[in-house]
Amino acid sequence: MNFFASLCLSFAGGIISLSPEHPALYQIEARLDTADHRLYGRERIYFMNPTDNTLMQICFHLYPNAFRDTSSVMAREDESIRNSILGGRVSELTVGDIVIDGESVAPEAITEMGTLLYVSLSSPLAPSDTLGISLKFELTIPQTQTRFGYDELGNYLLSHWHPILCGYQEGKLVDNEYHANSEFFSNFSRYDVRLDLPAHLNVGSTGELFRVQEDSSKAVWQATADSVIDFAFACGPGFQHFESDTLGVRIHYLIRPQNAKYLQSADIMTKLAIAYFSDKLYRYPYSTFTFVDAPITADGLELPGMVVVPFPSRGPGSVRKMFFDLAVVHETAHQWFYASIASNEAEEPWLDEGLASYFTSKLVKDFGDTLGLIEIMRYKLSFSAIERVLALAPKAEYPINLKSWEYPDAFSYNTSVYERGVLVLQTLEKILGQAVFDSALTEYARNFRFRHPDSYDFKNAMISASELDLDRFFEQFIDGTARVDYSVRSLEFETIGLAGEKRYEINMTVSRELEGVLPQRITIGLADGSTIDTTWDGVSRKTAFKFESVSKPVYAALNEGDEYAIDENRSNDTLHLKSFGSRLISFEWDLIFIREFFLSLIL
Amino acid sequence: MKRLLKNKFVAASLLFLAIDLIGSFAVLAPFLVMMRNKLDKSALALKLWPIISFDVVADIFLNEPYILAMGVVSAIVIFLIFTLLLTFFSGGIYNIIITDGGVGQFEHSFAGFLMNSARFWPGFLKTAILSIPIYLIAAFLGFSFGRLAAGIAFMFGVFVFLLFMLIASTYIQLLRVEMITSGSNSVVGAVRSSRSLISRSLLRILAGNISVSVAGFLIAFLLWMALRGIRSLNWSSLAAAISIVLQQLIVLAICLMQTLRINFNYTILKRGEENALGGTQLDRI
Repeated sequence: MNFFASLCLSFAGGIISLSPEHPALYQIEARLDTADHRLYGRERIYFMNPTDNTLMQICFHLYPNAFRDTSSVMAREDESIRNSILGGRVSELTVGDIVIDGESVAPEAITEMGTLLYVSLSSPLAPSDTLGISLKFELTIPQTQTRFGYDELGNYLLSHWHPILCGYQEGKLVDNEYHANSEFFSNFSRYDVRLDLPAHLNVGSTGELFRVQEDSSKAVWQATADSVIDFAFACGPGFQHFESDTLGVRIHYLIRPQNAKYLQSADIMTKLAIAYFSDKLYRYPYSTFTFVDAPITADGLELPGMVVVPFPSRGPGSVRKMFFDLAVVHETAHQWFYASIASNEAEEPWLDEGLASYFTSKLVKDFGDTLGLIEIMRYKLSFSAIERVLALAPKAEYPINLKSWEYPDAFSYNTSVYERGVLVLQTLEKILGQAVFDSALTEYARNFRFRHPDSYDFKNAMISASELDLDRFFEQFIDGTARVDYSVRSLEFETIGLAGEKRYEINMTVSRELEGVLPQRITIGLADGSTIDTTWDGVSRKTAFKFESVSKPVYAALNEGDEYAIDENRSNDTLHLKSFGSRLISFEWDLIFIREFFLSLIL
Repeated sequence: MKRLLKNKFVAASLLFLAIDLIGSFAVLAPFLVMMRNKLDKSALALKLWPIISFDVVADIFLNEPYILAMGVVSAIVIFLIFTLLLTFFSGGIYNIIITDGGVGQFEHSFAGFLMNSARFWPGFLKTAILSIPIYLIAAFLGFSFGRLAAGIAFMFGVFVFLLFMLIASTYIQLLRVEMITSGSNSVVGAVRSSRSLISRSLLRILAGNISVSVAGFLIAFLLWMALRGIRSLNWSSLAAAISIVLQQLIVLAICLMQTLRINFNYTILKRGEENALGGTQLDRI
C-alpha cells in the first residue's frame, strides 16, 4: 500500500494524515484479564517511512520483555530488578500473526533481540511510502515492576505495554535496548484504543477517554490521542476518580482512597505547574491531563498526557510535602520536555530530565519560600541547596550528556543528568542573562514542539538568541566534566596621597582554582558603602587587580549576591579585611552545645 | 548560694555539666580551629546566625573532606580518652548523689571525691564498655518498633525510639548504682543482684524514669524556646552571650534530670534491699 508524500487514511471516522513528524497511526483493541493478570490485544499500525532512505526492515520495542528473565540487559544492569524477577515479578510481551500489507510475515523474517523485534520487509519501503501492519500480542503483567504492573489492591499501571515502533531521529533508527537507567523514545503518533475491562474498574489514560459500552461484567472504553509518543492507561478498583479543569484542560485524578485527603494539594500543584509552563513555554499541548497515584514507580513517571506520582507515606510532614510538590511539578514539566518536545530520553536524557528539573527549580524560585523547602524544628533546608550538594559531591565524574546506559549506576545517572543538569543550565542562564535565556528557551520549545530535537538544536537555539560563542561552555559543562572554583586570594591596601587628600591604592588577587572557566564579576566593598565593580574573563589561573579609591576597602567578592551555583567553594568567593572571630564564637559554642547535649543524655 | 552548691543534686549536676563542657570542647577543638581558619574572613561567617545555614554545611561537606575526616578521627581519639575521664569522675558524682547526708546535703572533701572516683573507676569503665552493645541493641529495637509506630504518625516513631534509648540508659544507671551500693566493681555481680529487683519493679522504674525525663525535657524545651527568642534577634555580642548562657542552662537541666533519675533508681534499688531484709519504706516512717 504505497502512497506519495503524506498519506490520508480514513480512520475512526476521520481523515488522518501521516507525515515525517507523525509517521504512525495505531489502532489497538485490548482485553484485560484481571484474574490472570494478562492482557490480550490486536494492533493495527499504519506507518510511513519518515526517512530519506529506503527501509528494509521495521523494528518494535517490546519493553515488558526486559522483565522476562534475568538474561535481559535491564536485569544484568540492575541487581534489584534481577532480584525482583527471581522473586517472580516477571512480564512478557509476545507477538504473533504479523501481517504486513495483507501478507503474513514468515517466521524467518522475524528476529527478536532482547527487547527489540525486527521484521524484515518483503518489499523495500521507499521514503514517504506507507505500509499497514497488523499483529496480535499477549502481555503477562507483573506485580509492581519498574514503571508498570499491578499493585496489591489490583490497580494496574500500563505504560509501554504494547509493541511500539522504534522511532527515527534525523533519519536514523533509534533501536536502543531497554537499559536500567533508560527511558523512552518514539515518534509522534495517533492512537485509537479500545479497552475491554472489567466493569468495576476506574480508568484513566492518555488522551480522550470514553466509556462506550457497559454491562454487569465488563465495560468497553474508547480512547483517542493525537501527537503522542506512547499511549498509557491506569485502571483499578482501588482508584477513586476525581475531575477538575484548568485553562481548558480536563484533569483526571486516579487516587487511592488513603490519599484522597491530598487531592486538594495535588490539584493546586498540578494547576500551578500547567499554568506556569504554559506561560513560560507554550500552551499545554493536550486537552486532557491524567494524574495517577500509584506505588508502582519509585518517585514519579512521565507519560504522554499523564503523570504517575505516588504519595510519600513516611517521614516528617514538611519533607513529604516538599518531595510530593516537586514531583508533581517535575512530572508535569515533562509534558513539555518529553511528551511534546520529544528529545531522545535514552540517548540524551539531560535534554528532558535536565530541563524538567531546571524548570522545577525555576518555578520554586519564582514562588519564593513556600515551595521546595523542608522545615524540621524550624531549621529550613531548601531543595536547591540539597540539589547543589548532590550535583557537586560526585566532583563532575561524568558529563551530563552521556547516553543513559553509559552511567555506571542510578546515582551517577541521577546526580549528573538531573542535579548537575540544573546547575549547568542555571550557569548558562547567568551567562546569557535571565531575559535572553528565557526567550531562548521559549524559542527552543516552540520551534521543537512535536519534534525531536537533540543537543545541537538546543545549543543552536542558545547561540542564536544570545549571539555569543558558547562552544567553550558546551565543551566544558555539557560534553565535559569541568569543575569550577574561583577565589579571592588576597586584598591589601596602601595609603597614598597627602593628608587631607587621602587616597588608597587597593591590590587584590583572584585565582581560578579548578579547570572550569567562567566570566567573573568582581566587587570591592568600601568603607563609605560604595563599591568598585569590574569584570574578569576568568581565563588565566591568577590575576592581580589594582584600584584607587578615596575610601578604605572592606572586602572583595566574586559575583556578589549572584554566585554561580556550579562554583564548588563559596567560602573563598569573598575576603574581608576584618575578622569574623566574634561571630565564629557563637558558631563554636553552638557545636559545643550540641555535643554537650547529646553527651548529657548518656550520663 | 553556698548552701545551694552543697545540695547534692545541684553539685552533681554542675559537675556533670563541667565534665560535659570540658569534654566537648576538647573533642571539638581540632575541628573548631580548622573552621576558624576557613571562615574567619569569609562572608559565609554571616550565615552562622541564628543557626548554621545549610550553605555552610554544604560548603564544608563539598570542599573540606579533610577537615571532616580529621575532625572525625581526632574526635574519636579524644572521645575515647575523654571516656576514661568521664567514667573516672562519674564514680565520684554517683557517690555524691547516693550519699544520704539528710535533706539532700552532702559532706565530702575533694580528696574524698577523688578517692571515690578512683575506687569505682574499674566498674564504671566496664559498664561504659557494656553500654555500647546495650545502646546498639536499644537503637536497633527502637528503630524497628519506631518504624512500625511511625506508620501511625512520625512523632510516635520518634517517641518509641527515645523510649528504648531511655530504657538502655536506665539499665546502665541501675548497674552503676548497684556497684556503688554494693561497693563492688563487678559488672556480673551487679547484673545478677539487680536482675530480680528490676523484674519486680519494672513498671515503677519505667514510670519514674519517664516522668523525670519528661519533666527534664519540658524545662529544657522552655529554655530552648527562650533561646529561639534570642536567636530571632540580629547578631550582637550581647545576644550571643545570652544564647551561650541559655545553652548551658539547657544542658544543666538535662544533667539535673539525669541526677534525679540516678537518685530515683537508687531509691528503687535501696527499697528492694530493705524489702529483702524484711523492711519497707512504710515501716521506716
